[in-house]
Amino acid sequence: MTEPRYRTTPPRWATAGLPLPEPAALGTPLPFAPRLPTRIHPLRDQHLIPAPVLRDLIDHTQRLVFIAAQVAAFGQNPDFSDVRTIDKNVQRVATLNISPFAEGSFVIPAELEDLSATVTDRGESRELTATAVVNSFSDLMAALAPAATSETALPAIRRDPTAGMPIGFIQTVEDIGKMLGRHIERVDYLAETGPVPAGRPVSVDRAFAQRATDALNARKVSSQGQIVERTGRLVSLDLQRRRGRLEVVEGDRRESVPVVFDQSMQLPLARRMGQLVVVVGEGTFQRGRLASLLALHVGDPEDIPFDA
Amino acid sequence: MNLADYEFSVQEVAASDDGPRFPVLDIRPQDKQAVEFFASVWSRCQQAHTSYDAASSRPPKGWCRWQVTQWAKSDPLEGQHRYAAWLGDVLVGFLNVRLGFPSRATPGTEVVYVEHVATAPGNILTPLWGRRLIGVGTALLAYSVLESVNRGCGGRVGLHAADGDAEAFYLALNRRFGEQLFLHREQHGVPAPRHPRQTNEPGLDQVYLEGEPSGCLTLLEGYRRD
Repeated sequence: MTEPRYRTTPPRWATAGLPLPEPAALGTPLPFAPRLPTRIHPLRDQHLIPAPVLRDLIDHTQRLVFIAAQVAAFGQNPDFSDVRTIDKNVQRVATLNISPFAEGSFVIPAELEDLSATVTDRGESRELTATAVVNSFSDLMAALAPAATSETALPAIRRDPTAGMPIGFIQTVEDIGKMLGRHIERVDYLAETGPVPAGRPVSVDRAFAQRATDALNARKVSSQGQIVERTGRLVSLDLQRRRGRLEVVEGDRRESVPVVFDQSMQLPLARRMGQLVVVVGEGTFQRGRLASLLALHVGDPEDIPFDA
Repeated sequence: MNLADYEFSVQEVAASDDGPRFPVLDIRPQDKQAVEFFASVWSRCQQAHTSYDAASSRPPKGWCRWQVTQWAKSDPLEGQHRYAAWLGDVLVGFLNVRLGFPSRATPGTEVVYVEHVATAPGNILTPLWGRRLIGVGTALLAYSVLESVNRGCGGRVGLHAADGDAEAFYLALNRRFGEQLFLHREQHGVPAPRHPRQTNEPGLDQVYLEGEPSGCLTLLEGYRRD
């Protein structure tokens, strides 16, 4: 043990009114890698968690973060679930790293390296950062939280915040929900993107997981195959992905309907981009709302081919 | 200037019958022993306080969230010098300086940029423990002035204040030196040196202060060995 050395007389600075009380840090904050500490709350009478449960929870958490990264990079795709198809650069940014566990703690100290990757979406390049991935995770979790509601820019229509959420994300939250009750009471995720303390953690408990199950059931009960007709303005079109959006106005109600189409409809739709059109096709409904429209015919409002 | 002519002392808070005591810091380049201390004792102090905050439903303190171990284990960048301040076998603070930072007050010259300065958790007053030492940050600032002189920057140092508390401290320190310590101040817009993989631009939102040689050397002289 090395003993400290002491001065025998007061230093010069002591006569100049020093030292002053100092805060903990004086320079720039240390670099901060975005973090996602995951706190496991075991059931009240348990102090052990089986290894497979811990392994599965880490797997599920990584899966959630990968899907959040996919959303941050390419936007929401409600059908997305296969994380194996995620671009390797996106996976690199979104890979969780675990720092040493604290003694006596069921906190998985997960963090992302402070990396970025260039992704190209519909011909446009942009930077995907680890911070954006963690923020995307927070947004998706907030949308799935039981109290979450949101209004679209179109005030007449109340929007389900999980409507565009990748199904893989919802399924994974449901999978975490299936782990609750036997060994784990709940799991808290605290997304941290900077040295200033963030908000409250998101608790995945039974109510939260039930919300995921409800969202999945809502998708299952959708009806498909009904021929419908909608008149509106074709406001966006992605010929590569064969997706578009039709803004429908009915009285004081406005609705943005996702339109999908096959190759035969590419040219007719492209010619009418930005115009008021009638689209006839096969509709998919969720909770009574037209969730998507497979375009079979497009025409001018005065030129309807048949009554739907 | 010779390092041996100075000794960087601090004040012990614990009361003594003989009045305040002034232990002398051993400031040396960060080494493996320092990394091990960060990874064990320093981190455990952070964890202990984080657990206390969680148990008492308080938001975690900023210093509890420093990723000191990851930072200490990463390789120093070019022009970056890392120092650890020891008192016996206890690591009581660290200092990180960067060379080659252009002066804002005197264009065409360079300053030693004081990048990270921190005092150990044991010197922070908390509900769990009392403060052990005061003056570690000031001593490390004086040490960076000596670095500046010995590296040809004439005693000029530049720094960003970590937050409002740090800014208040620097302004109070400046007052103690008759407003002659930090003559140059920019509220925001001065970029701090970046780390290679850092995705944001650090420092832009923080106050930048630059110390002029006369004031800085006065600060350093307070640490001259008798």
